[in-house]
Amino acid sequence: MPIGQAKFGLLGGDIGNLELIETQTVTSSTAFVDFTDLGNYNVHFLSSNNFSSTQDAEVLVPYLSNNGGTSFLNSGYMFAGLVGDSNGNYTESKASAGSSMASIGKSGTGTGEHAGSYAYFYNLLNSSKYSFMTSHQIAWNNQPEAEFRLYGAVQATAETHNAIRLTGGLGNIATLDVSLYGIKDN
Amino acid sequence: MAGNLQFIKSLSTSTAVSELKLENCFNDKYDVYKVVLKVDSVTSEAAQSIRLVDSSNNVISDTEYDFAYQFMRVGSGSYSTDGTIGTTYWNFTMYNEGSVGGFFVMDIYNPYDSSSWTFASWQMASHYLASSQPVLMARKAIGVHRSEEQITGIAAIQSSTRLDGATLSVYGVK
Repeated sequence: MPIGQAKFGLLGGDIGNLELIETQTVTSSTAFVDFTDLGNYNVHFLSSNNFSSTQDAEVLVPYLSNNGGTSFLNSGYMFAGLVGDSNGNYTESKASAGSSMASIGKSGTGTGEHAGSYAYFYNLLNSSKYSFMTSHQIAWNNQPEAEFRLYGAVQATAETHNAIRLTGGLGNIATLDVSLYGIKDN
Repeated sequence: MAGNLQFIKSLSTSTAVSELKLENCFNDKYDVYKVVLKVDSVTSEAAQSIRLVDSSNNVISDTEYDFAYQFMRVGSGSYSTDGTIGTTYWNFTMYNEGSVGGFFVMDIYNPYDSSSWTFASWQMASHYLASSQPVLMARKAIGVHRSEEQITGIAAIQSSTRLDGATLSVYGVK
């Protein structure tokens, strides 16, 4: 964005979009899926479908990296959310010193027990800001029953987070279709 | 790759203001819009609310806004839900402290249709300190503007002049 426009400036026209960065598909047991090219965006959109874990009642778990995917952070996360199901159960799910950026899918190992979700990530690539996420999941879980999860999360360290890892919780990822997009605004 | 989200307009500030107002961002090309408010910095702890802008580019402050929300927190405070009918803005859309950042994504339905009400849903994540205790704040909410009129813009507002690093962006959903 030109500096003159950045300071209280107006931008117009069809110059920005939802831009696909990468799609990955898992069809057999896989320990994790990594996105190591995040492009150059302030806001990222992650869409997942057909998630199931090799282990019953497990979740799709996102982690961030500060070294391009060489390793992934397993501390420093805060998340707060609500889990509800079609039996009318509502449960808070939160952590002030979490080991992951919440969870974005719940599955079982039975037929049709899988999850879809979307998540927005903000400021991943900004070295002076925390990295935030909001997410919404709908699943046919391990009970089986319909289940939603709403989360807000933060990696509360001001640094660049330049890779995302998804795991299948305590199991591997059995099936997953996942796409990462950048939301372009300049 | 071009997607089905079309950037329409954005407005940024790097000096302290009490309002970010985007005019003429809703039109007859789209029924659904996505709005992203990115707050990178506030001069002091501050809440942002949302008002809509009418076809004369006036910010609507009539008691026509209803909303309901879930309030999820960790660090301090507890989960809560609430709602308000007939107030002058959609409240609890954003809350910030310092310069660590925070954002919301709002979906807005039918703003430009002069014969329908305008509906919205939004989700936000932000961070602040409660007596030096780090707090993650997340909200999920719905809102309606109960007036059959043409809405052409949107404004992020606050009661003080504390917003000194923020961008409000609007996209059309094809």
